[in-house]
Amino acid sequence: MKCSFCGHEFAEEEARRSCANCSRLSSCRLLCCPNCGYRIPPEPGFMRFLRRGRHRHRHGQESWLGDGIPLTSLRAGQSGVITALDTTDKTKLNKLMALGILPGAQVRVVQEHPVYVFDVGNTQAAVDKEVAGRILVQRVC
Amino acid sequence: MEKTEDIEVQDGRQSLRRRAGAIALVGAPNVGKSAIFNKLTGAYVVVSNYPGTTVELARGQGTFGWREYEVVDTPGMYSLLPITEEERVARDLLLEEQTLLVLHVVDAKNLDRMLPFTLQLLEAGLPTILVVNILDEAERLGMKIDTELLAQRLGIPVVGTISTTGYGVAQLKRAIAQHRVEGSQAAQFSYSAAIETAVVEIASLLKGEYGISRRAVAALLVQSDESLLELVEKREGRSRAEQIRAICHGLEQALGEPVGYLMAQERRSRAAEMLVDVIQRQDRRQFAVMAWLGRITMHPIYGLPFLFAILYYGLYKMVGVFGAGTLVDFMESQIFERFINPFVNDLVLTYIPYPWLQELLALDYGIITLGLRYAVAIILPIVAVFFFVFAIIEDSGYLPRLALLVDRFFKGIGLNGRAVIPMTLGFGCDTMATMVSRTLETRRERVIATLLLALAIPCSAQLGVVLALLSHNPVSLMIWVGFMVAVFVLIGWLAAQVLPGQRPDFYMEIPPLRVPRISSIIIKTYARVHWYLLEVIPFFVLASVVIWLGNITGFYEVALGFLQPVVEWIGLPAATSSVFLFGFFRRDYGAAGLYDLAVQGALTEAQLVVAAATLTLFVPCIAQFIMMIKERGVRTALAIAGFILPFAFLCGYVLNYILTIVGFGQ
Ligand SMILES: Nc1nc2c(ncn2[C@@H]2O[C@H](COP(=O)(O)OP(=O)(O)OP(=O)(O)O)[C@@H](O)[C@H]2O)c(=O)[nH]1
Ligand SMILES: [Mg+2]
Repeated sequence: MKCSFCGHEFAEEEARRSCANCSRLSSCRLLCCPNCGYRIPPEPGFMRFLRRGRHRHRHGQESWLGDGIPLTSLRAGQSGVITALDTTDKTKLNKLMALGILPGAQVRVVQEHPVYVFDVGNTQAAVDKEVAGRILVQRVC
Repeated sequence: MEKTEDIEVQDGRQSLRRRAGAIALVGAPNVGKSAIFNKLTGAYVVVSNYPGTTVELARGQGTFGWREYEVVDTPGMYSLLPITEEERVARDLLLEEQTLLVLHVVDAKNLDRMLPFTLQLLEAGLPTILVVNILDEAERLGMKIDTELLAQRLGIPVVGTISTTGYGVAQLKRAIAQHRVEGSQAAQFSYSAAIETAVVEIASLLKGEYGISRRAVAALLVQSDESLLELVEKREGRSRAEQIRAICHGLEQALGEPVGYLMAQERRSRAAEMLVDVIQRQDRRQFAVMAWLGRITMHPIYGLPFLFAILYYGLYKMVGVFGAGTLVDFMESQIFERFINPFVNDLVLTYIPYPWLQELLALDYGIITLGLRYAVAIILPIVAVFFFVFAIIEDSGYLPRLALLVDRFFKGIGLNGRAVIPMTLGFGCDTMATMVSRTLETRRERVIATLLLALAIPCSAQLGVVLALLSHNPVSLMIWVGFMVAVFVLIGWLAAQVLPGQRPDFYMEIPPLRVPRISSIIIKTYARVHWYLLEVIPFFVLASVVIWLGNITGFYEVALGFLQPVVEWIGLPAATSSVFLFGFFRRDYGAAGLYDLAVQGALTEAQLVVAAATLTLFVPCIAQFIMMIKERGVRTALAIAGFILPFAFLCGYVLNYILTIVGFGQ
């Protein structure tokens, strides 16, 4: 891939190697350009698809990436696009992925108590507060 | 069935000769696999509107294109990486058995979420037909699905169905009959560079035979599937497993993120690409009563009146007052006491000269006058009404909503909301429910659930009898309910403190609330009552025989002699000893015995409450105990039973003590 800042061409793995001694969360998806150190968000195919479709209005790549806010900060009735799942616990990840909760998916919070209930696609999912806090979203108005 | 026929399967890299096996229905929970199974085989397995209905494999026969095949229904699984035990059951079927054909059933309205699993199945080299079910609901949402285009892209047959009405089932049967494995053009896809390299490398290390392609095994291994790695270690040897582990570890390090998470995203994006133009949407948002009701029933405040209404009308009015009151009364006094018992006794006394045979068949403890009467006149009406009410609740999709409402409370007793499903099923039959506790994630939860089911959840027969006995006095009923809830909470809380382990997360898919179909409710009630009677009648007959044997050998007296001091210690008359003795055989048998005693007016109000509470807590019946051994192991089962026996009497003692002090019902 190509660094969008300095134009240096490099392999994704090469950039990932520098992540080992970086202090950011392991769920961080940023890549560091080996040449200039600029942080570049990698772009999964799913996002590409989404942006081509419904989210054409989103420009600048950082806007959808960011670190996102936890789902728990959305109120009932509000929507967001999932940016990341903030956990490396594999069983937790499996559960979330099972319900179709993956970066790029759009969610709408239905209720906050006693557990979080939200629509993701045509699925309605319920998770407790602890799990909901692991879902990072970008608010959509 | 021609099990020996060999079929060539093209697997991308390798071709393996596999034996013709069964047709397996797989897919996510609650998409209608069991409903399709019933349509394909003409058999009946339970269909309910909540994830996790099916927890074990069900096998049946179906005829497609003049040939008979074995069809297997599996518990739902979200992906090839199992989270809970019943998902593992389904995965292991694919992994260890040769499957002739896989029918991947998906929910049409969630096609985008479920298609990645189809890709996994294709990657596994499994001959697959995609069944897009629940088309009716998708259509109502304004979705149109172009199955032909999707079939072209996937390279496998795609059939749209509505399994509740049977739409598309004929086409599905045709697709099965015409399915050819040779020269299949199933779509293959590769992962991004780093993952792909690791997958190929691991696949080349594998030498053993698996039910799925080596590439798929490798793909699961890089997602650090521990249970699979153990299996691979057994088949491939220690050193190769170490090599594989090293590759996986290296990959994870290089990517800096859980590999399974990245792969899921890649599959998802691939699925999304495949669905471009396949799904046409028109926004058709309309006000739907069911959707509104679905939201109200899980509301933290408005949901409560619904819960109480269901408990009051469904449980108390229907099961307690109507089933256990009116129906049992009628069967007992109008049918058995008026006609059958006098008739049988007469017949036996006149035509059978031997007193021992007279007693075996009739009189006080006879097979017909006691065993059959208990089964048919007391248990059957209660259980039938309960199963009827429960079927409506199950099919409506209320249970997952109840699960999220009580999640907080259940966390306090070491469980989470998901445990609501086995717990409520326990009110039907604790034996069944003990098996369903498979759907819980950790061993700790399964043990706590098993304990609570064995201790504090009365089965429908017990519940019905207790409701019938106590409903004439609301205070007695409230005391009983309050006491059972207190024991449930106390023991659950204590167990959660004692058993090590961490609090499990709550996650659940909430299915749409659906109007239950009358035909499906009747079939389900019938199937369960049928199953129940088949199980219960031999038991009741056997119990009558054992009691009769005990009676003529004098052993019965001895056993009663042992129980009598204990029973008197908790303030009950000596006659109740036999109820507890019956209770050893089956919970419902003991309950029926208690009903008999109470009707004779042998108990005071306080004694009735104490007896009802103690008997509810009392040892699990034999059937449940066997299931506990099967699911949790001998040691756990024995420990639970060993705890419950003295504990039940202790509780009886405490309750009696409290009631005496406050001077209730003396
Ligand atoms: N509207 C509609 N409902 C359906 C259809 N097929 C199944 N259902 C309903 O979906 C629910 C789940 O059906 P099951 O057959 O129990 O699903 P399953 O896949 O076996 O579920 P698990 O055993 O939990 O994995 C039931 O309430 C069915 O009545 C359909 O085509 N249309
Ligand atoms: Mg099922």
